[in-house]
This record gives sequence, C-alpha cells and structure tokens, in this order.
Amino acid sequence: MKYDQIYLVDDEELVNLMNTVQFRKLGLEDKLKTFTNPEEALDDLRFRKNMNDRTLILLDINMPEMTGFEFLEFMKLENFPITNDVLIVTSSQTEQDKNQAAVYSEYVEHFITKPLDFNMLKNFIETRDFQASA
Amino acid sequence: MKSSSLPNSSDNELQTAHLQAILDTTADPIWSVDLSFNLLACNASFHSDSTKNVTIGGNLSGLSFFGETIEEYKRAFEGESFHVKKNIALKGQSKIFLLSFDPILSSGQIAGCCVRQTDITDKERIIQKLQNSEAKLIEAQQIANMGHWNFDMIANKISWSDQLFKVFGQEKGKFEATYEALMEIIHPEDRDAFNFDVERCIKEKVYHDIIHRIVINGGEVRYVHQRGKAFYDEKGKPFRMAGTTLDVTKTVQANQKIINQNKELQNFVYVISHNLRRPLANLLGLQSLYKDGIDPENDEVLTMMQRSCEALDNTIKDLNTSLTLKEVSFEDFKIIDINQVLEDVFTLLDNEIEESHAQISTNIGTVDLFGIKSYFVNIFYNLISNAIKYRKRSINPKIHIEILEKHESIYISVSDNGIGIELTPERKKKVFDMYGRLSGENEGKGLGLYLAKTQVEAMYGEIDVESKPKKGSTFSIRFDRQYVPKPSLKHMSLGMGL
Repeated sequence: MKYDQIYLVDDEELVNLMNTVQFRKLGLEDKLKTFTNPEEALDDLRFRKNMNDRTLILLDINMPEMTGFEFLEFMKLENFPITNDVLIVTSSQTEQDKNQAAVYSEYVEHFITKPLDFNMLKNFIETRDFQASA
Repeated sequence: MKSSSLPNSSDNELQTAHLQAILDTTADPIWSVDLSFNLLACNASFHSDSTKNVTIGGNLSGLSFFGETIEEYKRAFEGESFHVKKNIALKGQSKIFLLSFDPILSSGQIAGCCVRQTDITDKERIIQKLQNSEAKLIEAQQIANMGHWNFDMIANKISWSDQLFKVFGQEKGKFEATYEALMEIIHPEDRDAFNFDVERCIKEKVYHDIIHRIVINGGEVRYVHQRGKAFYDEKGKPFRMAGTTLDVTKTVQANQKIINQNKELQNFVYVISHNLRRPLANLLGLQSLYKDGIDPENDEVLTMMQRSCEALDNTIKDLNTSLTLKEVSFEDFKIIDINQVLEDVFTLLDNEIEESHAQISTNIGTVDLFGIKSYFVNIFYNLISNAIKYRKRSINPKIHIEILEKHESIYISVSDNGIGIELTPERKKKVFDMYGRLSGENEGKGLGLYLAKTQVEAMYGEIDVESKPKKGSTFSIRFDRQYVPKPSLKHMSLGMGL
C-alpha cells in the first residue's frame, strides 16, 4: 500500500522517535508527521489539502488531552473518508480496549500491543496484510 | 307475664335478694359502715377470710382487715370519693389492692361510707412489665440510633419515636411529621427514589426498604436505612404504614472508603500495566532496532534505551514512595510551624519563582497545623510548583496562600491566576490520579498532585480543586479540628518531647 501521508500520534515523544526510525528504514521518513498532542494531529488531518489522501495513522490510546478512542469518534462524527487507515499502537492489552477498537472497524486496521515490530510493519506497508507476517 | 305496675313488697324482697346475689358472687369484698364505724352491710367475699368475724351491726373501729385506716373512713365521711393503693402480704404473697371509698348519702346527709377492695396485683404487674419493656425499647433505640414510625395514611399523620426525632435531627414538639414535612428532610436527589419505594411497597405488598440521604441541621447529610410495611383494610385499601429508621451514616461512609480504596487499587493496576509496560515495550522495540556492527542508528537507539531504563526506574521508585506514604500513624504527628514549611518550599522553588516572576502572597494567621512536616512541605511544593507550571505566559503569575480556621475545620487554599481548566467530574478525578495528566505539553509526569492528595489523606484531610479556564485554579485542603490537639494538649505533647 502506498500511503501519501503517515501520522504518528503518541504522547510519548520517545515512541514517536522509535517509530520514526522504523519508517526511515522503510524509506518513508518524508511522509511522516509526528504529534504528541492528539488534538493537534486531528486539526492537521482536518485541514489537509486533499481529504482523500491515502493516510496511515499510528494512534496511541492513553493520551492526556484526548484518548485514541475519542480521536476515532471525532473521525467518525466528521465523516473522515475511509482512505484513512488507523493502526492502534498501545501498551494496553485489555479485551475491553480491543472491543472498543472494533467499533471503529472502518478505520482501524489492527490493534497492536507495543512494541511495534519492524518486520510486521514492513509487511503491512508492503502487502497491507498485517496478520500474515505475524 | 306481669303487666307493668308498681312492684309490691314481695317483688321488693325478690329484688333485694337478687342484688345480694350479685354482690355475693363478686370476688371483691364490699362493705359499708355508718358514721360510728358500725358495719351496715357486706357481701359474702367480705367474710371469706375467717378472721373477719364481725357481723352486721358490729363495730369496726380500731380494726383493719385490708389496710384501711380511720383517716380514710373519715375522708369519705367528709364527702370525698377516692382510691388508695395498698401493698399487702397475703399468705406469703405480695399483693396489691385498690380500696375505693365512697360516701353514702341518706336524705342529702352523709350517713356513712361504702368500701370496695379490688385485687389489682396482676394488672399492676402487667403495667410494670409494659413500662420495663418500653424503657428497654427506648434504650435499644438509643444504642442502635434507630427509631420507629407509624404513618396514618388517612389522616396524613406520622408518629415518631423519641429516638427518630434525634435521627432526623428534629425537636419533639416543634416538628410536626407529615409526608410533606418528611419530604423536606429527604435529600432532594433521593426524593423520587423514596417515593418510588413507598409506592412499590404499597402496590406490590413488599417491604419498604431503602437507604437514602437526609439533610438536617442546615446542611449536615446523614444516611438512613428505612424498612417498613403497609397494612390494608378488609377491602384491601392501605390505611397505615409502620417501620423503622436506622442511622447508617457510618456504615455508608466506611463503604465509601472501601470503594475508594478499590478504585485506588485499580489505579495501581493501571499504573503497573501502563507505566511499567510502556518503558519495557520501548526497550523491546529499541532492542529490535539495534543492529550489530556499525549502523548509524545505533547511537540514537542506545540513547533512547537509556531514557526508557530511566523511566522504568523512576516508575518503580514512585510506586515505592506512594506505597510507603500510607503507613504513617497518628503518633508520628507533630505541631507544624507553617512559616518554616513555606520557607523550605520557597527555597526549593527558588529558581522557578525567580524565572517566572511569580508573586506569592500569604494570609496564614496563627493557625496551628498538625501532621508531618515533610508532607506539608511536599504538599505546598507541589501545589505552588503546579501553579507556576500552569501559569499564563502573558502575565506574571500571582499565587495566594490562605490558611484559616472555621467551623471546627482548618482550611488551606492555594489559588493562582494561571491558565485554569474546564473541570468535568471525570477530569477532576484525573487531576489527582497517579500519572493522571490533563495535558502532555508540560514536563509534569502526573505524580505531584497524586502524592499531595495521598499525603493530605494520610493526615486525615481532604483535597479538592476548582478551576476556570483562563481565570486560574484554587486547590483547597480541609482538616478536621478533631485531628488537631486542643491548645491545652499542645503544651503537653510539646513537653513530652514530640
């Protein structure tokens, strides 16, 4: 899958840095935008030139200003096109969180428990089939 | 059948004989005397005791068969009708008799008196028993702080036991209990639930059983447990309800404490699953990024690994700190010099105060604080540094610290003119949660206010926050005066070297 833009949204800067390194290795660093505040990421997404750009969003759940689920709720309410793919990347392992993620299945491609594995990511980007490599 | 006519003399005799028969079958001795104490008449019971061998016409003066006295006869001769109670030992048993004296009139003149003796031993004992059990009931109600009530649904009158007035904080005689008056006492938020339960009780013929709040004494909130049932007439129409009311304030509060501790425990689980897992996950991720040999990324990866290790180390230290906090006891408390506390805090925050140009004003009066000094230092440190951290960038921060004593409580407040925040109940809780942060913008890791809250609570206080966006925030702490020694005790504890 060729993405036009990749958003990294995690309140912990270190996580964004780590993921930046991963995308750099995939030669996708120039597509990256990183945010520690999800509200700012959402604003940036709202005011893109072309809403239909193929976009990948790596989204954490537990963030102070807004949770990942609130983020997804806004996407849904504002009718974000389904050209926006979301990978939830969280330290949470609870079934409750997994079930809640399933509510936004039109956007959420996968629920990933940290850390994000490089080979898995590579596979997803290349084939958009995350599970196959797992 | 006889026609109605004046009774003849044989009828009179018959009548007299009948009357005598009635009198003789009465178990109570009945007799009468003239003014000279000569026996005029008596029934058979009067003679049942063989010692009373006085016949009609015999003189009773100087004799007393049933504890009666000359004085009592004389009172009756004066025209008085009265009763006297006599305790008499009869055949080894203690008996209680009632003697009734009534004057006899003849042609408008007092001619003597009639006396009747009634055995009231059983009646008296029953009354005694009733009084005893009533006293016990009152005692039990006082001890349990429980009252009972009876609701006359037709007259809309509720009768309360004495203790119920106390439970409901009302004064007997000044408060008239009706359904409407009761509604006024019930906490506004609980009125619908109460009405619903009463209606359910009446309709479904089940017990009225509800715990609700009452607001009394101009603001005090208590919890009461009501249990009762309805009674129905032959047509199945309810006419009366009766039940009990138990003050369960302490139980409910203890329950609340357990619920809070449970929440805290859940918070701990959250902290462990997130704040411990997070740096670990990072370490694992970084390890997979690290490539043997000379990879230009390696240095960067190692630096990030170090940061993750430090984060992990800090979280474990924090957990340790907050767990040991809960193990302080009242014996460790001392009287705290608030000026000393603030001096220490200002020294610690010297740089931050100077850099932010913060103006700090105090109004601390002469209130004594009681607790652990290092806790107070930490509490003020966190509240003040919080106020500086969340200042408006456009103006110099102003922070005001106030301590005052009011209504048996000590109030401490720290207010600022900072950025403030819109506080939903959800957010309010998060402010004091471990690692609860409302913004990722600042360097705070969300432990300061959690520690401050834990320390305030360890010293039996409460902490709360009010905030308005763009106006500022006020943190307020309240300690009950009961946890602060009275002035007389102060010298004692100081003398003991505390």
